[in-house]
Parts: sequence; structure tokens; C-alpha cells
Amino acid sequence: MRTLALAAFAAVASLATPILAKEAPAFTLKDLDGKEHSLADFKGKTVVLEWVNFGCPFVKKHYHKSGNMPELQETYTEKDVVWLSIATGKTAESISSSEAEKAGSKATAILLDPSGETGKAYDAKTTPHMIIITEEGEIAYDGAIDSNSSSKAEDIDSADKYFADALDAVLEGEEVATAKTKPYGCSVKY
Amino acid sequence: MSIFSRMVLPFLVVSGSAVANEETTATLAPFTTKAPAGSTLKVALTVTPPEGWHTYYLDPGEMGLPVSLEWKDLPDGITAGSLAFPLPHRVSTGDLATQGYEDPTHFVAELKLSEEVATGPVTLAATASWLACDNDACVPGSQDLTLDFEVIPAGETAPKVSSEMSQILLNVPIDAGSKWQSELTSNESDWQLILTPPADWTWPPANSLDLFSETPDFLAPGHQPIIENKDKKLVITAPKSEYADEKASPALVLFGPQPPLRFTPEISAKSGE
Repeated sequence: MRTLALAAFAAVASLATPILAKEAPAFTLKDLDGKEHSLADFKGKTVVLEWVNFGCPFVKKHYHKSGNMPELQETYTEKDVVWLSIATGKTAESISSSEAEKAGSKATAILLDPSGETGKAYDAKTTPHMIIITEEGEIAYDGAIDSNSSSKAEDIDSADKYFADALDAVLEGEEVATAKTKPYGCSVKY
Repeated sequence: MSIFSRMVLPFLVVSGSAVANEETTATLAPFTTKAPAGSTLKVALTVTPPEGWHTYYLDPGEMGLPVSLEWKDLPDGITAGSLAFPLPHRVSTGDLATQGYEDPTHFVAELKLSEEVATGPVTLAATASWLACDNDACVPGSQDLTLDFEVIPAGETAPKVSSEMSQILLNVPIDAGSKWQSELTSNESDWQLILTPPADWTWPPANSLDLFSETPDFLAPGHQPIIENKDKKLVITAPKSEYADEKASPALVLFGPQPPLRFTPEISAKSGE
């Protein structure tokens, strides 16, 4: 019995702490309709941050050319994940609802970060750049959507699904195997 | 000239150049128009980005994709080697540290001709691909290209390479070879590469040397390495990429010598241990 209890404790301990274990920086940003969203509003939920610029060919790879990102958004928001796409810097000044609609976005909200403060707090480098925040408010994944940095949609299927694998692990309460990868795409326009 | 035309002309010039500059272009040219069976033919791929734009090195840095060349349906007896990259520049793309080429740049491809390859005129097809970016936008591009040359019988002499093409070859790396010794160690933040040249090596000034990694994400991009001459050795210290694989043997190129020298050292135990 005692052995069993110890084993159970060890299992829980190894599952509970994401490898990055870094507290997600707080932010409050307006969406495309002018409504404010704070990270604190979503405490107790898993949150995805996705840096976006619909003019970037690497973003188009995952939206217009494949529908990959909208599919992921639909799949995970149905699992009660909050998906916040963020337009930082110059992109925040030009992004529009019609652009998002044309791209097929199914994000919970598209937030505007014109000052770049939130992007810099998360060290967002590229579009796309994916962050997963646990129910406890810790960063569990930081990096690329997948392993193939090409701009071609036909390369999506054969790529390692870094982001989706990490999000599945977080939702299952398991340890994220690859918690930090190099994001790829266009530079965030601070 | 009227005031009106003075006002309009500069606009027309800017507008015209913007249109002309929208596309990156590429060309292919053989180093010699004839190549004997059993030899290796070198081919120059020249990529020209528009003014203000750049393409990317093998290790593009914090973002980017390297220039590439893919041959299509090579005939029996012809195989393609890798594409050799000359000295890149440290350029930024937006806020990101990247490495690439703002100017027309000559890359060098190789075609290995077997002894049994059919002789006569050959036309080969290839596609060059790249990502071109300026500070505001990135455009992936590609161009279908053809290459014409003649395979001559083994043993016959190939035409002499022109001095212009020879200069291109002096700018792309070759393997340093066994006359050099190389040792690669690391501490928490930096790689240290110690190179022992052969006794007859002509030492260039250390400030004319530079080091880049052909292995992506090995060196931190945007940092000039520290290169010192110490006891007839070159001691090169360069910060690590945050994504560096501490176990994989990298391909590191010392630029400055002509041609540049490629080293593939194993990673030894950490410095100071």
C-alpha cells in the first residue's frame, strides 16, 4: 500500500510542472471590436497565444493555403481552450476583421498590441509564434507551430506537430516533451 | 524644365524602380561549357534580390530560409552535390538577427559526371528557391532554370575556367582537410574553436577573419566572434545559439582565406573541465 502511494505521488509530481515553468506575463489588450481582454480573465483555463500577420506567407501557409490554423482553433476551442491571436506593432495598425474572416480565423479573439509591449514580454519573434499557458498561468510551450520551417502548405502533414502535441499533453495533464522550439515565419514588426 | 515636370520626375523614378524591384531573380551558368565524363562540373547560381531586400544563408539566423537549388530528372550518370554558400552578411530582418545577402550573390553547385555518362550536348532543368525579405515583408520565390553544356569523352581536356568564374570559386568554402587541427569546446554561453594551421599557412590579419556556421542554430546570430592569434593557433570564441544541439558535430566556416575553410570538429568536453 505504502509503495503504491509513493508511486502515485511520484507520478503526480512529474506531471504537474511544465518544463518552462515560467509565469505568463499579464496583459490587457483590445480586440478588433474594441473590447478589452485580460489574461487574468481566463485563469483556470488553458490559453493559446498565437502571433499573427495575415500578410505573411508563413501565416498564409497555415491559414489560406491549408486551413491548418483554423482547424486547430476549432478543435481546441471546442475543448474549452481560449485561443488569442495577437497582432503586434505595425500589424496591429493594419489588421482587420475582413482579413481575419478571409483567412478563416476561428480564434476566440484577435487582440491588438500596437505598442509591442505584450509581444516583447513574451519575446514573440515571428508570425506565427505559439505560446501555451496552463490553467495555473504558467508557460508550458514556447515556439514553432511545427518542425518544417518551409512556406509550403504541402509540408504541413509530414512535420512534427510540436504545438499540437504540447497542447494535447497540457490538456491531458501530462508533461510536455518538447517545451521550447525555434519559431519560424516572418519577423514580428515591432 | 517646368516646375511641374521637376515635381513629377522623381515620383516616376521611384515608382518605376519599385515595380522593377519587386522580384528576386536567378540565373545558372556552367563554369565551363564542356566537361569530360568522369569529372565534376561546377555551376554558378546567381541570385539577385531587389534593392533593400535580402536572401538567406544556410544558417539564416532567428528566421529565414536558405537559398536552395533542386535539379529535376537528372539523366543517368549525372548526380548533384550540395550548394556552396559564400560569406554572408549579418543583416536584421525587422528586429531579428539574420544572416544573408543583399547583393547579387554567386552560389556554386556541383554536378558529378560518371565515366559512363553519355557524351554530347546536355540540357538540365533545375528550380532555385529562396525567401526574400525586407524590414516589412517576406516573399518566398522560385524560378525554373535550365543549364546547357556538353559532355566530352573522359580524358579530354575541359576548357579553361575564365578568371571571373575562378574568382567565384575563391569565395566558396572547401573542406579544411587533415593538415589543420580543430578542437571545439563550450562553456555555458560560448563555443570556443581552436584551429591549428599547417606550418606553411600564410596568416592573414585576425581582423580580416570571420566565422559562420553552415549548421543552422549553432552560433547565436548577429554576433561577431572574437578571433585571436595565440601561440600559432587561432582561438575563436562565439556565443551559442539558444537552440544549439550540444551533441551534433557542426560545419563551421572560417572566412578570410581564399577559398574559405570548412571545419567539422567533434564537440569535446566543456572548457575548463
